[in-house]
Amino acid sequence: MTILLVLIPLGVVLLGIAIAFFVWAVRDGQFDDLESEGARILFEDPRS
Amino acid sequence: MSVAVAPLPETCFHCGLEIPEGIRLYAKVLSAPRAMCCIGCRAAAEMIEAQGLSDWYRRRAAPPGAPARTLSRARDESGVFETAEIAESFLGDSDAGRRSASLLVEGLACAACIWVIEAHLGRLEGVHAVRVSLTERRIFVDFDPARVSLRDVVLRLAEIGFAARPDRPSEAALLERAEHRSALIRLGVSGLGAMNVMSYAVALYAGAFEGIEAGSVALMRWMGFLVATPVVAIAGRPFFEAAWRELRVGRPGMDVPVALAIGGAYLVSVWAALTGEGEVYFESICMFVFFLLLGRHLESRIRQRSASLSRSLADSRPVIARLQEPTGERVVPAERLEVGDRFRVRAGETVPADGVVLEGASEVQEALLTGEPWPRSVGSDATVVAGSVNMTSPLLVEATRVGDRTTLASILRLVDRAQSERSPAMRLGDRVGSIFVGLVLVVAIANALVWSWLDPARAIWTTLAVLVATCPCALGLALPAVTAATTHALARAGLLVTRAGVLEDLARVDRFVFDKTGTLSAGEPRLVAIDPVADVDAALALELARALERDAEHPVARALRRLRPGERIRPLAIAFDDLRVVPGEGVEGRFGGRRYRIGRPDWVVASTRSAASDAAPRAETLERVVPPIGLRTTPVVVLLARDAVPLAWFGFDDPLRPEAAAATAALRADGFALEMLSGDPSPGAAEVARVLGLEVARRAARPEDKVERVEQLQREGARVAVVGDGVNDGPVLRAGDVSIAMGSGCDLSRLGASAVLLRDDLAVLPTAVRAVRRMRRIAIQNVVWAVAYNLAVLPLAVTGSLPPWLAALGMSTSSLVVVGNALRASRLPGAEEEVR
Repeated sequence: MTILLVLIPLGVVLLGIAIAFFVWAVRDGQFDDLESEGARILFEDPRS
Repeated sequence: MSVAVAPLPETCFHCGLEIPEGIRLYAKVLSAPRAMCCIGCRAAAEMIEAQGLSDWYRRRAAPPGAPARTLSRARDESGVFETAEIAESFLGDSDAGRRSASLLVEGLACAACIWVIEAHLGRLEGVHAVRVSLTERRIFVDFDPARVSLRDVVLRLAEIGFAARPDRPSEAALLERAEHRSALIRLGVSGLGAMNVMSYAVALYAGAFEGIEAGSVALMRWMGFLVATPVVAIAGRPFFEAAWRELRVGRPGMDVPVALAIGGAYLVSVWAALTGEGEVYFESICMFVFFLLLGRHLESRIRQRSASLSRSLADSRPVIARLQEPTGERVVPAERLEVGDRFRVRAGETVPADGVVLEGASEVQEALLTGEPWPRSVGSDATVVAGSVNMTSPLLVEATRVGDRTTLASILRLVDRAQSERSPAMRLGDRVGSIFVGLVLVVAIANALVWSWLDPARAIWTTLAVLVATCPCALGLALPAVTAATTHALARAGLLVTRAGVLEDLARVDRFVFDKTGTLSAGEPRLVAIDPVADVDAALALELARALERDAEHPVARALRRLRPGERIRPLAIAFDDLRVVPGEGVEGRFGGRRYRIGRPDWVVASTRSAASDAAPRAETLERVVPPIGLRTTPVVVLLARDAVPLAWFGFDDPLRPEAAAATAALRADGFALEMLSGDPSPGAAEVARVLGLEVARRAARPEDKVERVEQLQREGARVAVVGDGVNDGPVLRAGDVSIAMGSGCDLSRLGASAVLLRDDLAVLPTAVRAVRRMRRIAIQNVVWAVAYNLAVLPLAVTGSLPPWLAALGMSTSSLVVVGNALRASRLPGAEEEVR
């Protein structure tokens, strides 16, 4: 069961990375407008 | 003889707005010619069709809904953005010398609007980037000031039917956004943390039954500690801060036991992890924090959406002022005004500050502040308030209160406060919570004292068991979870709540009072018949009526002004003098020395001398004003008269909303008393009430009658929900225990209303009252369950027969039961029938 000593801390490190990414995404404003972004991809102007 | 007038297809296929007089535009969409209200709409429609995206018209949620007169209005208004000082105050800097601006836009309805705006604006020379936010109802533009101006952007938007206004994000809005972001971060941290800690806990639970190495136990505990610490420190912070605030003001609420539970369980778990004795509760803490934050977050998101709906009030905050200086007139931003400054307000402009009129006589409309849609006459020495609209002629005003001290600003502050209030039920929850926490503390201390005398070694663990067993987690979640679930479900169905506590009030309502025009009916009457009485023909009568109603904003006036089929637009040949709108009655004007009136029949034929209070002549005239046979069945009848002699009758119909009958029937079946309060005196109103089976206590009720009636009902013990669209329902909406405004109603009705029917769909009402009644039942079940559980385990904990791990398990289960029960509220009652 010594593998736990590696895997569990590794899980915690991944958790930390996930949280860091989440915080970055929120600060970047990616969660400010949940309605328009999902739809915009459907209406992309082919010209640009 | 009556002349039938066939109804027109009067709305634009693209934007859904009324087609203005004289516009004959068509675009081929979905293989049929469709009427368009403006060139912009036609261009947009053709563009959409050409790109094979015309399915948009089938799929979109709603048409944009901005006034079709947007363009001409925008031309008049946007001129001020040419003034460098004004434009400068709206612009931010962007990369490479470009400027950025944010514009508030009206009429954003769905994702399709985003596409149209971004495509249309993006093709404007000099515009570098466009981003539309549906949530904030804003457009962010990045442009090159050398090639394009703010005004061009506003006009370009007006071309496709969207009214936009440059806007500076207020301090409050920035603060709100920062708050929202940190709430989201806390939610994420607690959610991710809880999942991980839970997985360690599962290993520990399994180990307790199947056997586990001591080293692994220690590892799981320390990992739990490592993850739970940031969760408590970051995500749990608002609870500690709120508890500290409550303690400092001496009013412990629900946050105190919550903070105590989190803090206590955390400290004990840390102690257990350090010493290797006892149990750790890291997973319970994390789950608890996560669920609490989730409930709060969902609720605040919905409130934020309602706030962005009512934000249009803040938008009417005056923007510019025409400052009078010895050197001449200068246009400045309104906030640049100081007390004592003199400014001019042109007709049609918004008054930028509270002040006293020095010169000029005019009428101002203060619908925004008083709810009264009819303009008030002002002359020298009269006071005017910021935010009101000058209707007829220019005024010179000296400022008495400016900026944040104006009446409008203080009303806006009141609104903000109302929106952040805690609901009565939450306050009740707080009170119960504070009694509860006091009891728990007393019991815990007594327990510790007794056990330290009986058996000091077991004192700490039994005390802990007491604290954990009585943890008010379930109680703390009982109300917020079910309120959040219901609020969310109703918002999806189309009823947005504007402040806390509305749902509880709605659950207690036993009577609904409906306005008719605009609420039960679509509110846009159509002219269906003209019946001349005297020596005039239908065409002349219509000409006179249109000239009288030239500037009136009443629905009847709009119906009169709309062109008939085959009619060409031409200038009005008659110009009345002294046009005057008489609230609730009609319009009066002079032409060729004769007095003309159009409006309520009894008022129209009343001579000037016999005032309304003069009963005898009025009764006599009433007999003369019975509409001709052909118009008896028409719901709305208006009379035109010259010097109190009837000239012609106009018949309008006002079709009921298709769902009105089903909605009122459903409400009646649920045991509500239903009543109609309408200002409409015609037999048509009585007919509507008869068809829908509504009581009518007051006929032809004026705004003050309506308020009086609602207050009378309340004195009789009824709890009244008022449903109105707000053109003159502002006051009565505020009188109701609960007020529900139609989403398409005016700003003020939405502001005064406790809830807004987003899609004007009355069918949501029966669903909503069933949902809130069930919400109340679920809330009671939850509280009873939580309290019963805590009371049941307390004796076990006190006697020391409950090991702490079992207490923790029970606590989590109890919370999950409460959350699960609350989730039942997120499915609306009767939703199955609606789908079918």
